[in-house]
Amino acid sequence: MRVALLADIHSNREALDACLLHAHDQRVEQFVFLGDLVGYGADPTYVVEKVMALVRKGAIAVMGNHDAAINAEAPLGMKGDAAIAIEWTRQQLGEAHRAFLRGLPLIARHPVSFFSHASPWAPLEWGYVSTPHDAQRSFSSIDSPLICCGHVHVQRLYHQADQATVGQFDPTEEMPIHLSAQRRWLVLPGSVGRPRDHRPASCYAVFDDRTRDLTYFRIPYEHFSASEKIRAAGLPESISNGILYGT
Amino acid sequence: MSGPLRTGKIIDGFELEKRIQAGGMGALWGVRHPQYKIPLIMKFPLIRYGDDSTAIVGFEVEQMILSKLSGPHVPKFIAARDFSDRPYLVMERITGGALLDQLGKAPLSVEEVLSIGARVAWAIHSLHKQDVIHLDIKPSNIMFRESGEAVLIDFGFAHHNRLPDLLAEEFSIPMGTRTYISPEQIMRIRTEPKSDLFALGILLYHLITGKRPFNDPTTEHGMRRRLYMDPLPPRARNPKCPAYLQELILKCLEVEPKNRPETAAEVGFLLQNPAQVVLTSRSTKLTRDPFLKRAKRWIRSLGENSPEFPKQGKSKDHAPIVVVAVDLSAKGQPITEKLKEIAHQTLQTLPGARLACVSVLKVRHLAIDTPVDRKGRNLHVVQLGQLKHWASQLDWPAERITYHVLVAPDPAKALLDYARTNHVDHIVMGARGSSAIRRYLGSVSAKVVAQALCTVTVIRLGQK
Repeated sequence: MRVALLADIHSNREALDACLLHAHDQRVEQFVFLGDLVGYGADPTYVVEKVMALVRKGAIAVMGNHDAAINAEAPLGMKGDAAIAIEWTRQQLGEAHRAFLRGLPLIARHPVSFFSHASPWAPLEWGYVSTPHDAQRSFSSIDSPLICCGHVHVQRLYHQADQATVGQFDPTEEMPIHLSAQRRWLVLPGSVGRPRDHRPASCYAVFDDRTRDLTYFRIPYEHFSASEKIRAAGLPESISNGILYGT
Repeated sequence: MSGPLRTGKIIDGFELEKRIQAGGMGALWGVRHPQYKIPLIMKFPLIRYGDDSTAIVGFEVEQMILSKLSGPHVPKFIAARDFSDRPYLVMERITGGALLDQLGKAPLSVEEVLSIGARVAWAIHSLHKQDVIHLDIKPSNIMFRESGEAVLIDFGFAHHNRLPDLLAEEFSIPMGTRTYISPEQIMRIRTEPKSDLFALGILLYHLITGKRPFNDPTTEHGMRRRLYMDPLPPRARNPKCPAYLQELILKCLEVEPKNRPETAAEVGFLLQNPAQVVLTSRSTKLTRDPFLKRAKRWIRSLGENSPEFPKQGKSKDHAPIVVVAVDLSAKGQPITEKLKEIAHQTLQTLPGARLACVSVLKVRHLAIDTPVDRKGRNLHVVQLGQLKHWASQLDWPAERITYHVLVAPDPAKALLDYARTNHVDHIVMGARGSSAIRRYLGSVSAKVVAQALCTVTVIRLGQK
């Protein structure tokens, strides 16, 4: 089965639609949403409804810190523009949307894989997996051979055989990587709605659990429209610019 | 799928026929499968308790990389099963001989060394173009097809520029075969394509002298000697080794990758066109470098000022072979001037390029005698002079420019043959305007464009 890994959509309708269309062409049969459906972008309702519909059909979704903040008393440790966007998003969403976000699990486990938004060893701490050391910590606390996370907004792959040193790899787009069953892997598919590597193109990945091939993709989308909508909604300029420049 | 391997056993549709060998890294079986017509082998890694785990990781690496490779210079990948079950790798069986079989006969003749060396160089080039560095080029990993092409096997130490390097992170020992390992591999660098050129240099040295340039060190300290100790020049061991071959070998064996040839293609090209090797003091020396020079290198090798090994090598084709096909019969005409202008512009964007200026001396039949003009001058020599004069205005460095006058009845075919045998990346040529004769005979550039395997730029003068 071919599985699409989609993280950090952040209410970006244009980016999500572009990735879903691409995934369809890739004959993807299962979707995993690795958290942060909302926050930053101008289309929270559309994105939540789209994901709700896919979850009803069997997709997997876990909760991100921005999703959690929607239902929290105060935005969870968020400051500045992120907090402003959460406040704005809260007003856009209806109770059904909020309930859906509230009901998302922090982690999802499958026979061979583990999904969380942030630090697998303590998902509620919303820590980042951004170094081989963090990956090592994830490998020692989770026994799954395949761990997939979001939160860091970059595409990366960590791997470890037995107790050996963790390897780190920056993937090239559209190059299938065979994930050998001889070692364990931690996949960061990058952010659908807000890439942070100075390229605006959307990020996601597809894993084929039959061939065990993992392929990272970069999907150009109408980021000008997405950015303009954020500006028009009165959201902070740092966000609309972030969409334009991939920051 | 457990149980011992034996003839007649069927694994995933592959029937085991005959055990070929039990190498250090695993067992090889000849297998057949109704779906595949070519001869096949199945490779099983040897996994014993307490084994050096490089064998296991090496098998993972080989599975990962071989499945991405294609072309005549690698065995065709057929199937693989990884470690969730009994792991194996099925690939095409190369039926020609192995280079190892010829090594005992070394020193070989110069012609044999050039022929073997060029074929191995082209195989390495093909690999580099696919973003892979072999990192274990040695006679036991080189086979030949019946058609003559060299085939590289065993990718257990290889590095793919666009795949995770499973070996880099896990092992702190230098990886490679101690006789053939490059200085940068000893320094744990696995991303330098020129490491394969160093190994090729050792191979050529061995083939022409019958001896290894650095003996066969057994310790890491012994391997490190090659960071400062230059080998005895090949001509000191075998006076029959031509100066150009020594030049090439010693250039491949330079300690710092930047001093080696730019690409495997360059080595292949020069082994096929030895007259084009630019000779330096390397070509004539008969002794090792003087003590002081070696001592300097030794001090450098110790640490802070260690030789420059760039961390990330380029496997991209940054030193392409560019052919400019000059029609000397149109000498002085606007199209030839325009060709010069476009050639100049093209080269500016390719600073590492090797430029081959080619013209065709058209003859009625493939004659044995050299054609002469009415004054009895050797036309070949005359054209060569004209070609050099034409190219002199391109201002391209002498060590990266070569001149060829092809004598042939069909200019297009001659150019195409030249481009194919020399693995040319780009042909730049002019197209003359249409004329009745051209319509009748067909245009040279049209045929080259239609049949060349590489990029072709055709220059036209455009509307007046």
